[in-house]
Amino acid sequence: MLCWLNPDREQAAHKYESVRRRLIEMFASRGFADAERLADDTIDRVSIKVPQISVGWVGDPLHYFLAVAKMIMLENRRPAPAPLPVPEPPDSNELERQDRCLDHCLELVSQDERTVILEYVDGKKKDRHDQAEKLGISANALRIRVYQIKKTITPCIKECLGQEV
Amino acid sequence: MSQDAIDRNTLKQYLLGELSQETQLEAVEERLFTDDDVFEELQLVKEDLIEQYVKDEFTTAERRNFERNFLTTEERRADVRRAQALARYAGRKMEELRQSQEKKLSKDGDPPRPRWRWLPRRLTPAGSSVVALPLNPAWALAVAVLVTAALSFVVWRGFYYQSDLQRGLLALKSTYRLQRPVESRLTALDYAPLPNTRGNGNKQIDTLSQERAERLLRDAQNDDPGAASDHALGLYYVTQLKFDQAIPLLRKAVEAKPNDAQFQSDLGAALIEKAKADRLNGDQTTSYADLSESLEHLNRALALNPSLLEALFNRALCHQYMQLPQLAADDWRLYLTKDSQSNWADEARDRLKELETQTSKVSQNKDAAQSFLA
Repeated sequence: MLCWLNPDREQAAHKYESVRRRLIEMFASRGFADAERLADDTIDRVSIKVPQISVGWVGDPLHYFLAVAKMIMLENRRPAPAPLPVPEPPDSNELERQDRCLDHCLELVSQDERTVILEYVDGKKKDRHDQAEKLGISANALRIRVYQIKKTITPCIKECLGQEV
Repeated sequence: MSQDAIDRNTLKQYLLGELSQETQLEAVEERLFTDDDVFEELQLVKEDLIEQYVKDEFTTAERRNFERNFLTTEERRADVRRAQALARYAGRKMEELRQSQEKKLSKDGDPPRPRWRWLPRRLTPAGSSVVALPLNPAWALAVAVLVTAALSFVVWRGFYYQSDLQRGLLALKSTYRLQRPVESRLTALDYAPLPNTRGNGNKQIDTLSQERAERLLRDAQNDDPGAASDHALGLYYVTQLKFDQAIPLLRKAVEAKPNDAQFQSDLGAALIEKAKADRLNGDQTTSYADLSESLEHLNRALALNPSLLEALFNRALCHQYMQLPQLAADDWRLYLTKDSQSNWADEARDRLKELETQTSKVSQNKDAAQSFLA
């Protein structure tokens, strides 16, 4: 299947990850709580079919993944939305742990980037326009910049705090 | 650019489960799979939504859709919890930064502290932080005088001293003791009637007190910055009808102390007055937006303190300007159950009567029209 995605092994691995992320987003957005499992089911089914369909396949294989995912969606009835559990407010130990993790993970970015993200996250919508103006960039450019900074620190935060923040 | 905006909005609707037609959903998913830019934009929109949720910037419907249709997986819930942690952390760090900047500023402006070199060594034995009792009667007398002076200072500070902020607010109250500057109720002002003039009527305001209030409240904001001084100077600007200066200050105060019902009520009042000014300038859209925001703050104030008469009075006014006579009348009635004696209550009664007259006229006209058409 990797070969079908891209003859280059590294590119194929990259594409595989990208397909999986897209599938998870799609299932999650359609209300499936077990989005990851359904994404993996989709990939499994496609990989079984690859020897038959890859020969003579024209176009991006992603279309095939999408079609299989649609079938899986039809097979699995969308569950009723699960009630949102009331989150327990973090206790002081947990807050300290969060702060330590954030202190540590924000070290991964420069001082300027730290200031940008903290000011952005702390500010309201209007403050962000002021912040963008101060930095001499558009509000959308600031939004993208913050997203990139978050992309850098998020794996570290995830690892430090674990999924159960 | 507008295409970007449409796409972003569509993605937002997709994530919030607001796209109901299968064809719309499929069109979005097709692009998610085939267009890297769209997928990347979806990630950004996800971040935006999480930020909005954490900062409580959603409308009620959006919040409900977010909780029902977006928070479907444990991973997304973990994303929200991480965002909450980051928001709390950022709030604390930025507050620390602000405080250290303020401290630095005040340190730079302070005169050097005097060093008490004149104290004899006998009073401060080496290695002891406790002042030893003087053996010499002359020193005992000196200490007694100092203690008396310190006690007097404490009493004066506790009972008689007024800060610039307090004096500024008193001066503001005194400025408008005969005539109030705006229709809405400000928490710092007592009752005074509205000017019954059209055009350039005589203003019955105490201009000396006004100048004094301005000076003191500006000083208070410079020397002792914080939510209270922002709020007070914001009120001053409301009385001057300078809403572009007033509202940012009042917003700042509310952001610093969101659970202060009076701050919420005064911001609501300022927004009503701005909405009226916008309407006079022909800007109906901004006017309506101001009123909507005002209503949010007034509701918040009343949620925090249901007995806050200023907020209730202002909400009735706000409903009236939003052309919601039924809700306005309900608020005036509620107001009168809580305050039936004051001058404000008289005003509330007049307004309620006026509303009831209008409502009955409308219903008579409706009846007449129906019988004409029948």
